[in-house]
Amino acid sequence: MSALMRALSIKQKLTMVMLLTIFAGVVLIGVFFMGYERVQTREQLVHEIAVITKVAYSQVTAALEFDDLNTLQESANSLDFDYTIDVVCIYDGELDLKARSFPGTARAIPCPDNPHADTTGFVNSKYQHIEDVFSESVRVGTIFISANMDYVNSQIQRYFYMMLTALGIVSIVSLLVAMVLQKAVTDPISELAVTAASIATERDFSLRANKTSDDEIGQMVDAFNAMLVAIEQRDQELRSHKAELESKVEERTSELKAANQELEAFSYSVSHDLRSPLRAIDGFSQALMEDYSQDLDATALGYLERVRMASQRMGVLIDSMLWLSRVTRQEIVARTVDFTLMCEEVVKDVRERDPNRNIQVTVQRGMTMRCDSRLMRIVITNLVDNAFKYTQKVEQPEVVIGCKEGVYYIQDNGAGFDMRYVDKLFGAFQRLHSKDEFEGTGVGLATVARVVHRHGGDIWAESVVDRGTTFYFTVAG
Amino acid sequence: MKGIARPDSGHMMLRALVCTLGVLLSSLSYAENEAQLKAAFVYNFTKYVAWPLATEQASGQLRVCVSGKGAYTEELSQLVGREVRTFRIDVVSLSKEDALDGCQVVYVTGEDVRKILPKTQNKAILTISDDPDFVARGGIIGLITEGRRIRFDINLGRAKASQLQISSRLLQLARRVE
Repeated sequence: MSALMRALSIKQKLTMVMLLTIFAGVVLIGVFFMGYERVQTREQLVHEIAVITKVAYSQVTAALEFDDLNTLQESANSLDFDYTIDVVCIYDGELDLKARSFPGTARAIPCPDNPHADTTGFVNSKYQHIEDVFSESVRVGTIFISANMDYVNSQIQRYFYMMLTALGIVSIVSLLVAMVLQKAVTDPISELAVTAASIATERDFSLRANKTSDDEIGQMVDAFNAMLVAIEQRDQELRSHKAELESKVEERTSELKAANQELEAFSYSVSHDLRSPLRAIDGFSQALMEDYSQDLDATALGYLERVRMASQRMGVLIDSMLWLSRVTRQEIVARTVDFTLMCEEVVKDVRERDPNRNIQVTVQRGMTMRCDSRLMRIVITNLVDNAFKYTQKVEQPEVVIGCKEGVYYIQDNGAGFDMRYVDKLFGAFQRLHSKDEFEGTGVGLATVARVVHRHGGDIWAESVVDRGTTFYFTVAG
Repeated sequence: MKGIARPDSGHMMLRALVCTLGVLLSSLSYAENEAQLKAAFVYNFTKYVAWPLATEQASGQLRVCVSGKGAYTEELSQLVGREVRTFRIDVVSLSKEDALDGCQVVYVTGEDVRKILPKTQNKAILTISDDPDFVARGGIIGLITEGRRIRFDINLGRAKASQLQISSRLLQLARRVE
């Protein structure tokens, strides 16, 4: 029922409500009148029988008193005045049957043996009238009349058909009237619904619903329009805010870009310009050590050696910084590369740097990647380097490179790190291990992260101390 | 003229008895005694006959005078005390010399018909007899036995002459009305 109601339009619902109301009204009236008619016809029947009994009463009395069977028979027949009466029986004072209406006819209904005046009334869909006949206060006989309900029922049936006809006519007429009148209610609602729907689909908040009445629907239209005005205003505000924000972002971005470029230029020039004095320090220290080794004592030579070491380390740092800034500045030229081959080449290079180490490296077959091959080689070199480095203290070092569901990974069983410091992992010059434990400048993973980010990808790591680390990264496309 | 069987003591008891008998009498069972039936008829006739205004207004007693052999005096005397309209029935036995003054109903049989009938002429007396030629001889109601049933004839002219009004109901039931 509720599902049906849901599916109906307001127009249909209104029509249905009206029709049902009228139906209920007509049926109620019909039932009322049928009940009334039933009572009425019953009363009429009772009254009619009472009247004719009264009319025949004196004749029956005399006939009973003088035991005149012919007259009693006539009286019985005259009381059986139409088909409503089933039978009329006349008894004498001792309740012996004296006469029965139309004896021997087909609709012969037996006379009861012992009629009693108290049983007058409706019994088993029949009406029986029993009247004692008195003469000078002495009961001289009894009249028994049994009437059927055929007439009453036919009357009620007639009313039922009348009600059905009325129901039909009223339904048709009211449907027509409803169709005309409901427009006053449904049209504004339909119009409002159409407007709302077109606003929802076209996102045009400048549309307005048309107000045609001052009733609740009119109020709804007003409220709807007010809402549209508010939405439109807010929309405009939002749009202007957005534009403002965009221009601000653009401004900031360009400022940032400029600052970044400046910074990069600065760091590049600094790194570059730092190299020549560093080379001078290293070169002259070496010259001192070689040319004046006889004049200098062991302590001085040791100091010089330290100067050289320090300047060389600084050189490495500067190189790393140069890498970082180069990675940042370099344009990305992406093409599909054989990632497996690249990884194998990198592993071979890294192995050659320390040929004494025996590390088992597994590279998954058939991997490809769309990337800038030179930059990606830096990533892989750094990660493989890392893996080799942190597996120094492991007896059977293993490194696995592979790809799973678009995520590339490189896994080692090395020292690992505390996951609490994972935030610092990819920051420049951040180190999780001391220089004494593992060598490093703290720029490698920063470079890796920057390259991955420049490829539109992401990089993260999972690690368990003394169990190993896995680096995961993705690239866009 | 002397009253029959009207003891003052036990009057009510008698009345009750008579009423019960009346019910039995008016039920007209075939098995009933013909005499009792005829007595019941006499009683019933009085219901359908109206006497002149003076008699009706005087009310009180309705005297049934009985005369002749086999006149069911005993059965008729059982009607004593029964009421008809405002009347109370009284039954007296007539001797030959008695005048008919005071009789409203005369039930006569046999030889007495010839003697008494002329005395009732033009008097407000309802004459009843089971004499076969009673109506023809100037009586008002004649009882006739047909098989086991009792019918009656009415002489309407005589009744009118006697200032008696006979109900049409009774006339309807009569075998013959003259």
